[in-house]
Amino acid sequence: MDRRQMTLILSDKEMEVLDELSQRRGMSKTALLRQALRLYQSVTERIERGEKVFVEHPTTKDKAELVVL
Amino acid sequence: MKKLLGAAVLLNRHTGEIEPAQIFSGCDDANRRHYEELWKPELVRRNADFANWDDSASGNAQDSHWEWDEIMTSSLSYESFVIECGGVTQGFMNVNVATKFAKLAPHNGRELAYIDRIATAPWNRHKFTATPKYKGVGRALFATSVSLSIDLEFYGRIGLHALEQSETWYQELGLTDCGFDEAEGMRYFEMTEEQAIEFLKGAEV
Repeated sequence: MDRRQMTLILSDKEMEVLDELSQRRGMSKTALLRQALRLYQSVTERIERGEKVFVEHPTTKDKAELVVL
Repeated sequence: MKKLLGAAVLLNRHTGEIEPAQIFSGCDDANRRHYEELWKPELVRRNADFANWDDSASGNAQDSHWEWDEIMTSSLSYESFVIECGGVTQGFMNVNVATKFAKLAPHNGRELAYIDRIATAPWNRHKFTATPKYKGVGRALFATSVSLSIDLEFYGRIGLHALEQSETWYQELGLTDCGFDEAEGMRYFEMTEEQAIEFLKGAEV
């Protein structure tokens, strides 16, 4: 895979979240950000096609629609 | 964009010789042409031998309706691969790397590479033809998906729904049969990190 480099400036809070998530997911920060980009593109494309993206509570089965602005 | 990933070898059952093959990420017009002109007519012809989709499993033709040109998109969510040997496309694979997650403990909920579609050329298939040509296409592509999973830091985790005629093959590769998935109408298989390590050890022999 061809790769290109960029500098990313994050706030302290954003960096804390990135640190925490990369630990919880067992991935490097770079891998986590790449995965986030894939997911964001997927969600955006689905919503642009008119599809709806939901999250469902595991027990109550209540659904909340995910909206991307 | 099509890019050479590496080399593989396939056994030509007709000659008994090992032949060099090339694995690519992405595909080009030649691959699309091979599918339209070489694969598809054979798949459609074979599928016509059966009354319905379920029955076509016995002829290894349940994928006759797959449109690889549409399946292989440029979305970040999917990685596509082809394997070529003898100047002809011998296999296709499309892997979802964004929206599927592991179900097996202890890494349930973690990312995995989900094999959305994988197929060897019709002339390589048992039950499709009495004299299948190349052996090793599926295994080479599957190994590529494990490498992809490792490269993405998914630690070799793989998931897939299996067509009926392929269920035994996935068990032989070391995946866990997680049972019938009503939503997909197929059995779901998963490879854990540990199983991926075992698979790769076997590939080194």
